[in-house]
Amino acid sequence: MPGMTRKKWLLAGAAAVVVIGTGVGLVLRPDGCDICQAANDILLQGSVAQNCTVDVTTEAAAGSLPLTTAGAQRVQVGTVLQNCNKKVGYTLAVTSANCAAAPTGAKVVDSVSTEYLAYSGEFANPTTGGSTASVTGLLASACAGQTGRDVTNAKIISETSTVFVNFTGNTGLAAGTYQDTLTITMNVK
Amino acid sequence: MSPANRTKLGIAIVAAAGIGIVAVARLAGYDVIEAANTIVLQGTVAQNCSVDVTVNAGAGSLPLASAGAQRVAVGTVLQNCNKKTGYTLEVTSQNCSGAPTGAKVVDPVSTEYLAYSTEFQNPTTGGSQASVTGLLAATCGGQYGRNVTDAKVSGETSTVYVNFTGSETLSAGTYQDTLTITMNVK
Repeated sequence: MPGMTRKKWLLAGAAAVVVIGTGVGLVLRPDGCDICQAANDILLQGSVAQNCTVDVTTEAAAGSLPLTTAGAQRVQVGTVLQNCNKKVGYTLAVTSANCAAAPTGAKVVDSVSTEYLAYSGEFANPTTGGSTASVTGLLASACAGQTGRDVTNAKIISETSTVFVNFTGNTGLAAGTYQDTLTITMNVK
Repeated sequence: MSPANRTKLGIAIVAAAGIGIVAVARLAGYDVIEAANTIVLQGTVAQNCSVDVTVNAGAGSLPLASAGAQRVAVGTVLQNCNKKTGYTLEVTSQNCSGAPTGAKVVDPVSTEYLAYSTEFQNPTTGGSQASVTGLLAATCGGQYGRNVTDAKVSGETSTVYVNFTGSETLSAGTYQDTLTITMNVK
């Protein structure tokens, strides 16, 4: 092969090597990444369980209401200790066992004489979470949807609401034992 | 000059000219011969560097409300890199830049959070530190869990931990963050 022709073949060979080399590089680069980031995440997660409770303590006075003492009476009948780590909040609903019976409204009833004395419930609250300090007139004329406390956007740690009953004593009541049962329920939002 | 000497001089001139011509011809010949007989041998080894993260089950159930110092292994990072200049493993947190700065798991409902820091336990190849702690505690950028220099790494594993102090007063909810581990080849 003449010298010139041989040189041309050599140059063509070198060009072919360059082309092949570039091709190999392009194919392999996705595996040999400069910054390898795909699918290298670690999701960290932890859950804190809901822990919401009410603990009602009944006052002695709840068992000896002055029903026949004339005039307005306001008696503290219990306290409600509350804990709730659910920040969206909760409500304290209050219901009465005798409320729905005619005439509608909370009342203590003597089952023997069937006489009764109407009353209303009252909550005195801490104001955390936008709670109203004093909620009165509960169960006076409606039996459902009676909320003694409404907490929003706050965790509650060991707060206490106080429950009162308000009534007007009646000296003309028949002799007997008058009863009702209040139930206080925490509804977490 | 005698006729004999003129003849000698003529022969000498002709001989000198002949040598010059030969010399010129040989020089041109060497250029061509050397270029035509050079063979460049070359081979290329592609860079092949990768990380493969395996997430531990513990990462999904962090004991956030358990009082006291907690240290939880959250994943392992398998590394391969044939680039001898080395690489770094950088760690970032999705929630880090939100105020207050620093890694934290966050409950989007209550907006409460619990701060943590990240820790790497490494093989010591390539001058790597065996234990790197405090990552992402106060800074979000330039947080390196491992730094390998002047070494090829084949099938080595680092372990990633998170460290935090549990809080019994956290709001009920689900707290999350995402760690991203990036291999930056030098």
